[in-house]
Amino acid sequence: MAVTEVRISIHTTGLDPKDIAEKIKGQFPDQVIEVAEFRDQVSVIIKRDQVVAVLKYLHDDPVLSFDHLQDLTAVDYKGKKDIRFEVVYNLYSTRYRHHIRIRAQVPENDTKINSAVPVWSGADWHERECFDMFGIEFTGHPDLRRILMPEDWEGYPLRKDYPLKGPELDKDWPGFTDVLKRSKELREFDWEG
Amino acid sequence: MVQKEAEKILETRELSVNMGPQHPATHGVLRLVLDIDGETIVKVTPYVGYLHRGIEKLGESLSYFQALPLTDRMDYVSAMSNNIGYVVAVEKLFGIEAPERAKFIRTIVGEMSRISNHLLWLATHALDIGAMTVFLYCFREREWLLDLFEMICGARLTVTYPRVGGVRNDVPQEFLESLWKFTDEFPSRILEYETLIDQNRIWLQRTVGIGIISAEEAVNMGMTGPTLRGSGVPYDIRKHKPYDAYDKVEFDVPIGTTGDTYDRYRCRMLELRQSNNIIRQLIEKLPPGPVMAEDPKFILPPKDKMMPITHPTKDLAYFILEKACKGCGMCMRACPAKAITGEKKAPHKINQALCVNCATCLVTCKFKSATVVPGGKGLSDEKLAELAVAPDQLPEDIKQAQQLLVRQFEFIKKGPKAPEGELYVATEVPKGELGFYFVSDGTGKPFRMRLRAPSFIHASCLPRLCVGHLVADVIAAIGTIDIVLGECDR
Amino acid sequence: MMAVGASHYDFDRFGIIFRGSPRQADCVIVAGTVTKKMVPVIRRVFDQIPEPRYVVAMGSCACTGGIFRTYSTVQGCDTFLPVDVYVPGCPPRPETLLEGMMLLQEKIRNEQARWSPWR
Repeated sequence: MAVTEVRISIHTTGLDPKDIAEKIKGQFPDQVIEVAEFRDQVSVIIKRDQVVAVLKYLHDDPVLSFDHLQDLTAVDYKGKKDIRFEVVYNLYSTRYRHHIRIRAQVPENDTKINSAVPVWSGADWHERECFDMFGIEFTGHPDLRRILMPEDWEGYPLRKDYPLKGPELDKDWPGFTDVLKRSKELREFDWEG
Repeated sequence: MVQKEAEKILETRELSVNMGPQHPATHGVLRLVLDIDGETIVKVTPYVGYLHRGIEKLGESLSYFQALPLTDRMDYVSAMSNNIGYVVAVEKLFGIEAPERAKFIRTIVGEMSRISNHLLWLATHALDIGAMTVFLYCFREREWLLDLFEMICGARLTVTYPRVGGVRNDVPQEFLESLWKFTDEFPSRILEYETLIDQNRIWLQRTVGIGIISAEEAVNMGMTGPTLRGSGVPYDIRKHKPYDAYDKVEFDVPIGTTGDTYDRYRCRMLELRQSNNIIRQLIEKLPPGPVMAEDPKFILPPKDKMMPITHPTKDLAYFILEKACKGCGMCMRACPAKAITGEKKAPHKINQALCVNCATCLVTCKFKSATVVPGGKGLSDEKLAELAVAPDQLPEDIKQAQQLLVRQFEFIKKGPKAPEGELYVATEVPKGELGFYFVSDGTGKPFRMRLRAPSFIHASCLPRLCVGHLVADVIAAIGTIDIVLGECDR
Repeated sequence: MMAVGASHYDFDRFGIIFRGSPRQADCVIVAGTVTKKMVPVIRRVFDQIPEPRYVVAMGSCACTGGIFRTYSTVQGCDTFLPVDVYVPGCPPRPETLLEGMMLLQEKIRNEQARWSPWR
């Protein structure tokens, strides 16, 4: 029951992100497509076939020890790149304080990738949100359904070809248009008889 | 036989109860479906998304400066922290640094918003569990803090005070004096709250042993902030990757042991004291200097340098030189006051009565025919025609003001051109780790703006915390994970 | 809204208390952004309030949709609810909300024959 106040040091002991990228390349040489660097942060772009193996290696290896999945999201590169979607994993080690980013490419005609829930259970809702917003299916996910939009919404909002203002009123979500119709009828009802 | 019939009628089943989106005890629009066996919980399914406003998609159509007020509205309880997180991320993307004084001020208001958030957390958590006096006491302190926020920037809740490159304006001296008095009196107020509930039998019965989660499991589920530190994991971004002025102050981080609701409560109470201490150190060490960076590629120009040509009270008149005007009509279309008239290919004229001195025509004209006449307000058109000179021959400060105005217009309309690349920056907001993931394609608008909200992950941990406890403990669990639906749904 | 209920800007001295159930309420305050997913819920809560009932739209997002012109935000709760008082602001100050409730009280005092011809 005791809560103590600890003076954590600011000193970092982690590996350089480029070394981590080299280790990944050494372990999975045929999966890595590219290593990009920007402002001291390194991204490793891989193919989607063995993404769970790569993540498991990063999680279990005692020197790397990436135990904290900071973020799991997707980016839609419509028109800018050949392979349209990329699922981005931002990983962090709370022990060694180093950070790496993994980007797995997902093509447009086959938007499926293996789920990371066996490695981190916190990836659950992140993957549901990716499915909701982009339409990327995660095979092996325990309960893949929409989370932020209503369950029977049509369309994937964060894709680049989805309009910002949403669908037109006549093609809108039936839950909303039904309420509008009903409230209009009640407003115009002749109570006096 | 009667026994068998009785058993058939009295069969027990799990009951599915809906704690709807509209509920006085869920903090916002959170829907829970509880599967209960008697009074014990078997399964909890949270449904979120009732406050999803599409901030990420909206951010893709706004420039970096315009998307800043959107971040206020995410975690509306501690809006300063959200702004600081966004600003730190964008500054790292641009590669600029805020001046020292701005960093200190940002840290001060960040810690103030941490205190404000924890006070509201305590107020609602205690109110849900039943301690109603604590609610009123906490709001008394919070009013003081919100008044201080209003003193520096005019808004209580959705401030947009931290800006890219620094802060909006300097703090007045009375703010620092009042804040110093607050830090003097605050420890005795914390003692008041603790006296009411810390050793209270009812509080202990309702929070000790509720929602226990071990350290490995908590990290695996993605928890951060005091919710994680209550389980014993020393992860605090202010210490791991310091930003702003956190490496210049000394403070401790409270770490719990058992990972139950009581430990998380104690963590946050001790954090209140630590934040108080941090603010005192920062006020003592506050350096003098500017509060906004000056970088011509990414920051808006300072307003006083542009004043020679656009301030409304200055004695200026705008005039179009007839000899140089080609009659293209661009200034006529751009003028917001519709003060320019003229035919195509004929020299245009400015109606001095309607002109508002905004300098749009001066900046838009490509043929250098629009010019400004200092001291020409109220003069007739013929006199202005005599006094007006071509834009190249105007005095130096007016020419510099014109350059800055061009830059201002470009940054407001199209946004500063960010370098291409991607970036993930995390900051420690009162609720946990707020992460911003930007993908920039070289234009003034982010290609992808991703907000990693701590409340989203903590809401997904709710099923794990509540299993095996009673229905009333669900309310305590919602309070302990400290979620705000605006942040969870974005 | 919570600050209005606390002791600095006390709501209770105007005769206004927060109730837990719509069946015991007179007025519903729609605060914050209204999303399409939430519309059937709000309408259901409003339908449960017995007459005479009033609606206060608090905040710019509830009045007109605010700064969120997106695929999931309803541009104002008056598209599906009959609103009596609009309280603007983002967020509205506690004094503004108090003014709004006082205006509502004024409106109730002055109205005749809205709920029944016998008033």
